[in-house]
Amino acid sequence: MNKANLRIKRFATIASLFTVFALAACGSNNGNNGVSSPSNASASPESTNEQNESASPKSDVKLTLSHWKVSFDPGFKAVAEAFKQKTGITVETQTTTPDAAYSQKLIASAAAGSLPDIWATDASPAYRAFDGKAYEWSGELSKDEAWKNGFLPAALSGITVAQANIDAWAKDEKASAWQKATKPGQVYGIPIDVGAFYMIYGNKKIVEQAGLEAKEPATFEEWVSMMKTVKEKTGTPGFVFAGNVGGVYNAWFLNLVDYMKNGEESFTKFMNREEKLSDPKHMWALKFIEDLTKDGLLLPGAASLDIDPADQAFAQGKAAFSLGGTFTFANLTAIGMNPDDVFSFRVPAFEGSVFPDATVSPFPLVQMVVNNEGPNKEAAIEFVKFLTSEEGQVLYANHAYDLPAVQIKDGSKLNPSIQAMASSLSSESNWWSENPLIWQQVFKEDWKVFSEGMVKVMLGSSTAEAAAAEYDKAAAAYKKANP
Amino acid sequence: MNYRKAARREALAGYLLIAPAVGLFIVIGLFTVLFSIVLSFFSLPQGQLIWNAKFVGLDNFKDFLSGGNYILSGFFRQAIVNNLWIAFAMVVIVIPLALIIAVLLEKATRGVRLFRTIFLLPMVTSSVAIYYVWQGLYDPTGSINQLLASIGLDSWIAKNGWIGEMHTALPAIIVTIVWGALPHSLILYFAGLQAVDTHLYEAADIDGANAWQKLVRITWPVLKPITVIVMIMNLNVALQVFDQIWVMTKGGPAGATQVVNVLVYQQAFFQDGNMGVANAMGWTMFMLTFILSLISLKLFGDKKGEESH
Repeated sequence: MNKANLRIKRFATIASLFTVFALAACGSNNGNNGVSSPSNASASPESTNEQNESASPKSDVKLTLSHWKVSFDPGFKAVAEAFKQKTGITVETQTTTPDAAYSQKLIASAAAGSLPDIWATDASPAYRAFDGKAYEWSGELSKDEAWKNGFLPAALSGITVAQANIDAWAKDEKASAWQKATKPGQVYGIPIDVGAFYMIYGNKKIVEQAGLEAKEPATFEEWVSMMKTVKEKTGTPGFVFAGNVGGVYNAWFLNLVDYMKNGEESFTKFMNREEKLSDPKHMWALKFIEDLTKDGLLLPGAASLDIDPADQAFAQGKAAFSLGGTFTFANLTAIGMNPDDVFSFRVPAFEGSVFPDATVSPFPLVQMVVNNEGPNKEAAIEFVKFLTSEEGQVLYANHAYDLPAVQIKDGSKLNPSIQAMASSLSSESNWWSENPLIWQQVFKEDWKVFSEGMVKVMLGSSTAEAAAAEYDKAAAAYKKANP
Repeated sequence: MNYRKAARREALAGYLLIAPAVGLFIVIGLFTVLFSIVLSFFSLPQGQLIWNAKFVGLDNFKDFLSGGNYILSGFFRQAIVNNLWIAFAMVVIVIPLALIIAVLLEKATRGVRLFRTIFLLPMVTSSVAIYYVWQGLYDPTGSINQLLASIGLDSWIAKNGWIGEMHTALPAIIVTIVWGALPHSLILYFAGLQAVDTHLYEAADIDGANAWQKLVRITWPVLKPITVIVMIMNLNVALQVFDQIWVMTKGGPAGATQVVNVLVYQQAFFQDGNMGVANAMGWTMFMLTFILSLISLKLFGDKKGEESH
């Protein structure tokens, strides 16, 4: 009995060891981490790659680039491939998603002193600079005027520390002592793209099926009428957006429409909580949602949708129109929607608006931050400069379906869809681009109460008036606590 | 003397052997717990590094408990009410249901293994996968709505999905939590029933006891201490729930399924949050769970001198 047991045990041990070694051997053949899909730039035949690799310089330097945007990874990889051909330096991308997980990982890395060589963040002055762990670029920008002048004006101004930022941080108890001690003109991140919110995407097939022309409506009212016609003729709901994500309706739609409708002064007072949401001038923000709900124009379940599921619902033809930004196009094409089936336009203005033709200057969306304490700082700086050169930006934009942050002299190098989007944005500075601290008030805590009220209106559990009253109470409390 | 030396050496060897485990516990367990308690008295805005934390005393607790922050205290109130509803449902549904199923399984003569497998399935399946399946069932175009439409109950259909409507979202979440928690309670009751001496039932039959009397005088005294454990376990699940909510609704729609642990997560890791407040909320929930567990022990625990028959 014992001998038999011993034999069985011996056999099991050998079999397990064999399996482990076999799996390890197979596993080592896997390439990248599989997060991104292969881009066209990396699809060159193996023999050409081998030839190129033997011709390009060699380097032991390996840079790590951390980011959270899955749809941009093909862009980063395309640029990394080209950079390696030129310098021999390898750049490995690491994607951590969703945003909260990425944010958590970065903060923990900063506290532990193990930040990557380069990390991506939302573009904002001194954002995620981790109290000086980020490289400060103003010197580099002054040294290389050609590189600096290649950026779109709005791209650089959006990430440069301004006196207004320092004044705001001085009053903000959440700002650190380091932030408060920054100087105007300092730059802690380099923008790699620009974009704008306030885009409505339309499904050409559904709109044309309803007997309408797939073109930009002249007014807000005409757009609503289009949605009603689509619903009547095809049964498809008119509109979908990410109702479960508080910032989407507020920051991608509401603030610009209110600014266009009411003008600078009234809009500023509204954002500063000096005019109420229940004021007839601003009440449209919830009445619009209430009317859409009553007329059955909202996709059922929209109140529970996050950003990607909302884009998926639109791509699947469940609604005629969807709310997004210039970056949404990348998502729609990644999901598999045919670009020819999509038309887009800026959120329309109400009839009689003060500024019906307000143009939206693109602002930087994502910036690259270099680790000032990293062992490969110089190589990281060189990579970011290459990424934001015209060559790098064309590669990046075409693979990530993202708008470049630099001026592309020969627009034909960009994908037609990227070209079309870029041409719809203004590169000139205007009130909107100069006053982000005003329109970004929709990201503050009291607007979470607005978002909850909006969802209740969408579900028919509250009226627009009741929800507006709740928000006004929260806004008053917020203003009292944050004078 | 030699004996003392040998004893000391043996003791030292013992300490050295447990040192790695104790060290790990101190660093990962005890240190993090103490650090969290200390941080709950500091303000650390989201995104700031730890050395920027400022001591604020009890202000964090005042923010969400006594209206110091009007908005946050409103969210916290709604979250804790939802947690208490879930706890109530767990106690009122899971415990009696688990007991009934355990008794039926114990008495069953046919198909015991099959039924046991069915009831214990939630325990061995990946929880996140289960939540996504439930999410699909609850979808506006999911199986539940389709089933209702097929049997002519169109008026019952949840147009925005069962977790997308204000009045059905929390009950729908409770169903998934109950479904997931049932097997753990069932196993404990089933094991308890196996421990009851069958001769006692035979003796009771001879004495003319009816089913109710047998349940109250024989079965229940054995199951009473198990019920304490089951109650504390389910209260803990109800008050610490996070993953179901985060995967299925993220606390929506409009806070209808918001619970304290999701609020803690949002405070800790989302823009405009505060790590100190998040820790303070977490410890408040710990105290609530602790108090409710003590009450359960008091109500259902064995009193001194009381003998079970």
